[in-house]
Amino acid sequence: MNTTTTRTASPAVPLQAVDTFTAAGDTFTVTKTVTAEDPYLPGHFPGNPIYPGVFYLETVRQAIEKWHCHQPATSTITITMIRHARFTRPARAGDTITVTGHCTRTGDETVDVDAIIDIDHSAGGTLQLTLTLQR
Amino acid sequence: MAHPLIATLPHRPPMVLVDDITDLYPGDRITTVKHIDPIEICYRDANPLAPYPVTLLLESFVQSAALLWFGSDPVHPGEQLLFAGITNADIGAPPIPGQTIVHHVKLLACIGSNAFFTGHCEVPGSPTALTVERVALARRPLA
Repeated sequence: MNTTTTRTASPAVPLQAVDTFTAAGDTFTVTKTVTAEDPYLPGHFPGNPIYPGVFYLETVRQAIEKWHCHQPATSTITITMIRHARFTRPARAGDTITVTGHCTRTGDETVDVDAIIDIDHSAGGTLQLTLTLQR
Repeated sequence: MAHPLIATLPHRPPMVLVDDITDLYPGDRITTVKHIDPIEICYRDANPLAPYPVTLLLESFVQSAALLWFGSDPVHPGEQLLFAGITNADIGAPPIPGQTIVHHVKLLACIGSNAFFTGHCEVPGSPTALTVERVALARRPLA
């Protein structure tokens, strides 16, 4: 693929927030192993790298990109509403985050996601988001 | 030169997402600014005019809330700052490189080692980029 074409079409993304993805119908499961070398983590925080809470939202967004795999190449999935998000413990370098989400289509281009965060088999939080396909 | 309070954030580059404080009423409200720059990491493989990621816009808002908290209650050694949650955040028109975001954050309540904030952010002259009903921050002992 032509690099210039890739760059001009690509959205701005803070990091790769999904390592593995599986889906069955309207439910998806993704994992992400936190590393100290992930973008932005050296500054969050020096000597104590913690996966930023906002990056769980990015994990869900990238999961929906994969779940909504028939989207046109020139469109993007964007978060348009955070109904509720709760983070109950931090994920540190070396931890594996698992996010399991249930998707409900609310229109041709919108989907609500209810998700649960697991950090190495301990409860990490919950997310309720609305995402929109933007052409 | 940036407001000295920004240095009290535990964040360091590239995760410092507040450039300056333009108004501060400790214990009440704060106004901060963040310039969107295409040299930021999130644009390294992207369209240099792509909208700023919602997640980083929100992080910038949360850091502004932390600065409002620290303005009246500085962070103590041995403490860590955690983003505990958010309720009803509406994302509007995200900013693009070259624009400057203005965050307006108000303290709702401090309860022990937890604090709650509300506010919005905008690019002056453009539709509101983000409206937040409530953000929760927490201070906990370092593990």
